[in-house]
Amino acid sequence: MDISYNAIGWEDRVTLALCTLFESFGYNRYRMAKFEPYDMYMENKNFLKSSSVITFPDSSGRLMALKPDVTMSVVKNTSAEEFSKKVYYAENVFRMERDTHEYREVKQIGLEFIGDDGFYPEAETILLAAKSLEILSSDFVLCVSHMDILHGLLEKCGADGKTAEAVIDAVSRRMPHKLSDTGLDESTLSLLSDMISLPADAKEAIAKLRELDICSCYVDELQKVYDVLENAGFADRMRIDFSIINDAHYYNGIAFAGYINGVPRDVLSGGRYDNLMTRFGKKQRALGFAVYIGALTRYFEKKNEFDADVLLVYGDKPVCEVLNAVEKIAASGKKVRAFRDKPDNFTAHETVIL
Amino acid sequence: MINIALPKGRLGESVYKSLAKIGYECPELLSDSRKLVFENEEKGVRYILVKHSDVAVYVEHGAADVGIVGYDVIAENEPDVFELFDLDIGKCNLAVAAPKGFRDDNRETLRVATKYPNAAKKYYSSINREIEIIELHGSIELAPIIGLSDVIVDIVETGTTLRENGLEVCTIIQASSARLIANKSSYQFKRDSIEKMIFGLENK
Repeated sequence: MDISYNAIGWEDRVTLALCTLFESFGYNRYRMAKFEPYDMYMENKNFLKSSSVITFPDSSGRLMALKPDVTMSVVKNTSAEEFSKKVYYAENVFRMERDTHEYREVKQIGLEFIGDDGFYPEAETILLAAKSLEILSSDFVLCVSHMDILHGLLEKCGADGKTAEAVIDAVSRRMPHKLSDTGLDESTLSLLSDMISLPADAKEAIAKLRELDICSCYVDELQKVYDVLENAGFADRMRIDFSIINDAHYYNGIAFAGYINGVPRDVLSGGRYDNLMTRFGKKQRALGFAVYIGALTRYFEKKNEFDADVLLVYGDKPVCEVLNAVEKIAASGKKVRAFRDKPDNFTAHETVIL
Repeated sequence: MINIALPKGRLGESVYKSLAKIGYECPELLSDSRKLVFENEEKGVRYILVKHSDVAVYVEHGAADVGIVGYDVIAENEPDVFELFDLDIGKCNLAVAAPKGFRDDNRETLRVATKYPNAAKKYYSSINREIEIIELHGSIELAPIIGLSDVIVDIVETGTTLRENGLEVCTIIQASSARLIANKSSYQFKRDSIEKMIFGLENK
């Protein structure tokens, strides 16, 4: 069957393009056909974008959750023996919207790279994140952070829970003026302030990080990310941005978020989540990302000027003749609607009277 | 073009004057117009005048790239924005106030009248005090006087209104001042313009 790429909407086209990209890099489709227990999500609720979950009892009375997330299900259903597993998904998830406090069904597409050694999983995931953003729009930015730098720093200076929370709040919202309220020593404050105000250019930012009292192994990892993106022609799209902070109970290592010019929120986010794997009793390392397709349609889907390309008015003509005419128009790549009489509130580029 | 959401009223006018001095002028804004959008194409700036409590909504949703808003509003609504700069103006305190001589004996649920329900809940939760929120949108000082509430949680600048209504500050919950906030995505794409603006405000 031939598919006309232009005949389908933006969301379907992007879904097709992303799935094709992930398939070509060896990822297998993960279908979340079953529901997971509510307990699993509640034990890890800070991993979720929204901790409000729609629940329902299953046939045995156990409380289940209506798909708030896909990653946890992938992790749960990964065998501890698998050396490497690469999956992608295109699923509808159910989340409470921050603004309206209403539940919505939104499409999310993502991938998970579980297992394997060395830096290759980071390299491939970052590359695919950049390529995914490019599919959405050429005007994108990929912000990259390293979780272990900030959390290592907080550990090193012995920050208690409250102080750590205040520092994370100040860094995640780029508030240098709030750092002084945290009570940390001058050198730590200066370091944090420098981390917030790094240059926009990733190469310059990495050079600046090398001047700071930060473990070089973490900066080396950011450098490797830069090398990957530079090699793919995306160097000018990369930013080093420590405002991307994921929960340390689940995440570690490289974290990233993608933005598109004209879309007010991040459209992609991801990172390494070895700590989530450990919480699920899995030995493998893992990372991945998700693209929030459902929230983007309003920015990219073109508004239809007409209800159809062709309005076919068939009057009293025999149905087979009408169907033949409809098929002929459709075969020319046009969208056609047939009516017995010309309707008042229907717009078409062209009207054909049979 | 950089879109700036300003709160209507004194704070907005004061901030506009500072911005005008550093090159973001749009004289029409100070005219007696009922317009809400003012643009100076030459300077690359568009001002949107909105209700103070709505500034962060405009910025979070990307209708404005940056905005000026009091920390009290940020603390109440916790918008998902960058809070880049403390302008050190529009200073006030979010405080608990009650009729003079009021003593909380902890025996009953405390009735708190406020237009800052989230900040009030957060504060009383931090001191483990059970409360009942009575959400009001204006004349908060009236509530304890006529027995609608035991205390109020509200913004206090000079304290004159409280004194005139027989109330006094019991506890200051947090200090507030005007902040420059930015949409997280706009910041990534208009970073140079936004940082230039902050630099100008810092060194004005």
